[in-house]
Order: sequence, then structure tokens, then C-alpha cells
Amino acid sequence: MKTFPVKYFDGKSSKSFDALLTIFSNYWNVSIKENNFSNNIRWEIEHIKSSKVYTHQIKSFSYGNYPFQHIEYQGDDILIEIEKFQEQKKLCNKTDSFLHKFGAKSVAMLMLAIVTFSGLMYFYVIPNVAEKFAENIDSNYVIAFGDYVFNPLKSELNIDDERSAVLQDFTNQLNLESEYPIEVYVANIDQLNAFAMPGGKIVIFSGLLDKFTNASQLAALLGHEVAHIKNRHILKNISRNLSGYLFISILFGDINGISTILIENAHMFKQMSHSRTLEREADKEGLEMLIKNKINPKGMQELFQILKDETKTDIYEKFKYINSHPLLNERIDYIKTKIESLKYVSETNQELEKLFNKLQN
Amino acid sequence: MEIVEQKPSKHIFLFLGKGVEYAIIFFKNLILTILTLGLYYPWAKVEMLKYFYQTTEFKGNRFTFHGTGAEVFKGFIKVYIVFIALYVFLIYGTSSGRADLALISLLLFYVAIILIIPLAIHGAVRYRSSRSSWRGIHFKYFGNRKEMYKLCLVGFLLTIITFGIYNSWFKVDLRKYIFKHLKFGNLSFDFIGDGGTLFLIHLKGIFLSYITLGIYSFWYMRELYQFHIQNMVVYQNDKKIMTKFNVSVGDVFELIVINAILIIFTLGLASPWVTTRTLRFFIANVVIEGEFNEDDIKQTELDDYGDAAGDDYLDFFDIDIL
Repeated sequence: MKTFPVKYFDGKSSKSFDALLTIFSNYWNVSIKENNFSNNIRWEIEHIKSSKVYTHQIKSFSYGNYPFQHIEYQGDDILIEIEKFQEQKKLCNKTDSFLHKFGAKSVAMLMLAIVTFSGLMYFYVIPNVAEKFAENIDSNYVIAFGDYVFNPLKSELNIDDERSAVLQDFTNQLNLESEYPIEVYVANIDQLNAFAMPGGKIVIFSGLLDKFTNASQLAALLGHEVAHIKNRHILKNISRNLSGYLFISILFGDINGISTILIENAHMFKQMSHSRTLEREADKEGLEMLIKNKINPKGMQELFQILKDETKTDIYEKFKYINSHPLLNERIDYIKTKIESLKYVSETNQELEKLFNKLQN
Repeated sequence: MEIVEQKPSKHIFLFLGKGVEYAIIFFKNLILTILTLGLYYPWAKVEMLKYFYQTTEFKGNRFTFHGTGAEVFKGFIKVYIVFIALYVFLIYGTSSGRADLALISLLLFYVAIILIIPLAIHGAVRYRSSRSSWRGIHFKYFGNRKEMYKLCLVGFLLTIITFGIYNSWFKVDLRKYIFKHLKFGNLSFDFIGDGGTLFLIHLKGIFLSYITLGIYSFWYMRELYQFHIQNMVVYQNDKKIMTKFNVSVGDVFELIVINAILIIFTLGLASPWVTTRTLRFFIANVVIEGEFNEDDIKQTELDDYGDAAGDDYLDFFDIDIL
């Protein structure tokens, strides 16, 4: 019968006793023998608790009710003895013993598992689930969300009510096939900008609107923005962004601030490259809308020509990677080839022309 | 009766944790936590505490943490229920579009948090003490919840009124209160630092770090560590035992700079090694000085306190008590 020399504590004082532990199938025997004192203590298996953590060499067990009796043993061989008995399985954890046996190799394996799993989640599972979620939200919630974001913004946009009304009439002339009613606003701000909100709101800045020379350019812009709305691009982006960010902060949140910042920036880059695919999709669908409405698709090409001329793209060229709109030259080329490949009939729409002229006066 | 022998007057702690060993625990638990969407966190936390206790040695014996995942999980659920309720209320208030309602809900949210913190500190200290032992002797916290409330509310209020200056005194008062109401068997504790000294350490530290472009911050950190550790006093049978924290500025520099390098260049994967390095720095440099007999500590009244909610609240606020 194998015995293990252990340190025994009785739970009453800090004095340590040298004792011998013998492991039997249904109980443990702790036998204390000191100069003037000897005692045999029986530990029933059901009341023994292991410390439930693996540390090299030291194994400790406690027994009974609070405050516990306690033994410490130096060495790993005690686990081999315990493992011999089925009833004592709860006192040693096979997984832990296995992992600790291989030390650094286990660490490498676990790290690899984490990196692979996180990569899969971050690049594949989470974005897709997030998009599916955004796709399936009820339209009413999308509209409510759009209002929630737009309302506080509205006062800063300096909305021109008169021009907005004309632009609304212009928009209503187009067959946009949107699930939400499209509301358009002209913001009295001298910038080349326009944006769409989830749930059907589009804002065009006067700085951009004033540069338009014909109705098809304006229709092209609307087509592009409506495509963002119809495909719930903004919502999908927010959903992807938030869930990706959440995942990252859960994964790295516990670790440390610096690495979180580094990783957040990498996350931003990934989002930007994703935005570029969304812009391309909106360009394509905007073009299709123009053709369906028998409007000259060249309007789209002209729209980007205007943006290109006005922004002196040299500066932008240098930041090719961090520009979220695909480079204007690239976009113009893409639209050109697309138009060439399409069959289209364009007619002059009197009503649109009339409204466009009214808008520009 | 045994003859109590004269013990040597310096007593040291050993930290025997190893980066590789802790990395296995850390990464294993990280995987389990991710796979269970965070639900495994209480068990992960308990295993971490158990590991660090069991690798800390004093006089040839290790410390033990007796908490269980189930206890921490129950606390965790309580904390989440309270916070979800608070957030729902806050979101309801701020999205109602009414300014008065938004203000009230915001105010209530902060008041609730201020009211939870003393409760959390009390619960956390009591839980951790009750679940910590060495040689089978347990710690015991016997502070009074009402007194803790009073101390914290006065502290918060004065800190706000004095634009943060009172914070040093508040923190010291809090430490004093906790230590005075802490027992380890029949050993008792005290904290003898004072708020004025802490305030001057901060004032000097921030000022000098600023004008030396951060170089002084290593001296500043060392002074802070020493203030918090060296002012701890232990009493055994009315005999005073002091603590010393012998680190040089070079040690502090090495700790901080190497930790930062490790974290940055591994994108955080070295975190278990950083944790064990840091703990070794703090634990292995503490020396207890005085007449002390480690075989003569007696278990006194016990406090079997299994409510880990306070501990979980502090996790939520990211506050560490000791």
C-alpha cells in the first residue's frame, strides 16, 4: 500500500502536522505521528474536495465543513494513485493533467485554437450573422431607427424647406421600387456631400446640388442613395461594425488597453474595405434604376466626373487605401464599361426637366 | 503547552506561479468563455484565483481560495439583473424625448451606482476574506455595512465638492476601515498611512512626471506601491509586525517597460506571462518584520459567507480592492 507524506492542518490552528496519507478505494486515511501525539483521521470520499486547480508539484485537498481540514502534498504522483479508483474521479481532472503534461506545447495548441476560432468568427460568422440580422429587422423598426438618428441631426443641417419640396416632387416622379417612402431634404451647406439614412431619408447638400447641369445627374445620385437604402447598407454596416467591435472587445477587453487600440484600428480598415464593396453595389443598382426609368445612364458617369473635377483627386489618389469611396477614376471606368455593356433607351422626361429647372433657380 | 521559540525577525513570501502553467489555465478558460458566450466566466475567475493563491507560499505552505464557480455565478446573475434593469430604465428615459424624464433617469442611474458601490465593497471584502485561507486558517471581515455606507457617501460627496482633492483621504479611510475590520484567525490588521501623505505623493508625482516627460513616473509608482504596502500592520498577541516592500526604481522600470513590450509585440497573447511577472513582483518583494510565530495562529469565530455578488459588482466596475 503506497503512502504519501503530507502536511496536515486541522482547521483550528495554523500549526502544521507531518502525516502519512493512504488512499483506499472508499476512504482516505491520514495518520499523524509526532513525538507526543498520534492520531488516525478517516476522510470519507464524498466529503473530500480537491483544490480544483493544477499547480506543478503542490496538490492540496480539503475535507468536511467550513473551516476545512486541509492537506498539502509535494508531487504529482498522488494523482496516479487517485486515478486508480473510479469513485475518486472527481478529485482529479484528466483534461488539466493532460494539458499540463505537455506544458508549452499545450499553450501553443490552445493559442492556435483561439486564433483560428476568433479568425473564423470575426471574418466569417459574425459579419454574416450581423447582416442577416439587419436584413430581417422589421421595416417599421428600420424607419424608427432612421428617425432616431436623423432627428437630432436635422437642426444642424440647415434644411431648405422650399427646395426640399421641389426635390421631393422630382423624386416622386421616379420609379424607385423602395419598401419605404423616400423622403428627401436639401441641406443648405456648401459641401460636395449627400447621404442616406436607414428607413428612407436622403439628404443632399446644396454645394453638390448646385453643380448639377441636368436632371439625369440628379437622378443618378438619387438612384445611388436609394440603392443604399433598399439594400439596408447603413444598417448592415452598423450591425457588422457593432458586432465585430463587441466581439473584439470581449476577446481583448480583459487583456489590455494598448492592444485593444491597435486591434480597433485594424478593425476600422476592414470596415473601410467593406464599405467600398457597398459603394460599388449602390453604383450598379443606381445605374439599373436610371435605365428602368428611361433616364440617360451617362448621368451617373457625369455625377462622378463632377465629384472628380471638384475634389482635385490628386490628394485622394495618395490615400487610395483609406478612402471609403472607391476611387473616382476607378468608379468612372467601371460605370463606362457597364453602360457600354447595357442596352438602354433614354427619353427626355419633360416633368423631370421642369422640376430640375425649378430646383436650380 | 509547547515552548514558543524565538523566530527570526524577517519573513518572506514566495510566488511560485509560472507563465506556462498559468497560460494553460488562461487560454483554456478563454476558449470556454468564448464558446459559452461569457457564461463560463465565473468558473474561469475562480480557477485563476485558486491558481494564484495556491502558488503563493509563506513559511512553506500555500494559500487556498475556497470560492466556487457556482457561488460566483449566482453573484454574476444578480449583478446582471440589476444592471439590465438600470440600463432599460436609462434607455427608456433618454429615448422618451422628454428632457425632464431623461434627466431623472440619468440622475437615478448615477445615484443607484453610487449606492451599489459601498455594498459591493462590503460584500466583496467579506466574500474574499471568508474564502481565503492559509494552513486552514481563514480570513474574516467583520466590517459593518452601515458604517461602510456612511464612509463612502461622505467620501464621494467631499471628493466631488473638492474637485477630487479629497479622494486621497477617502481612499486611505476606506483602506483603514477594511484593515481594521479584518482578521486572520486571531491576527488583526491595521493601515497606518494618512491621506495627506498620499495626496502629497500624487501631487509631487504628477508634477515631476510632467516636467520630466514621464521619467519620474517610475519613482512615483514606487512611492505609491510602498505607501499602500508598507503602511499595512499586523498584530499578533498585541505585538506589532510591520511590512516592507523592498523594490528599487530599476525594478519598477523593468516591470512596467517589459510588461508593455510583451503586450504590444504579442497583441496581448503574452498576457498570462505579464500577470505572473506582475504578481511575482508584488508578492516576492514583501517582507514581514517583527516577532511572529506562524504556528500560533488560532482559528477564531468564522464567517461562512458565500454571496459573491459584491465581488462581481467590483469586476463590473473594474475596481480592485487590494
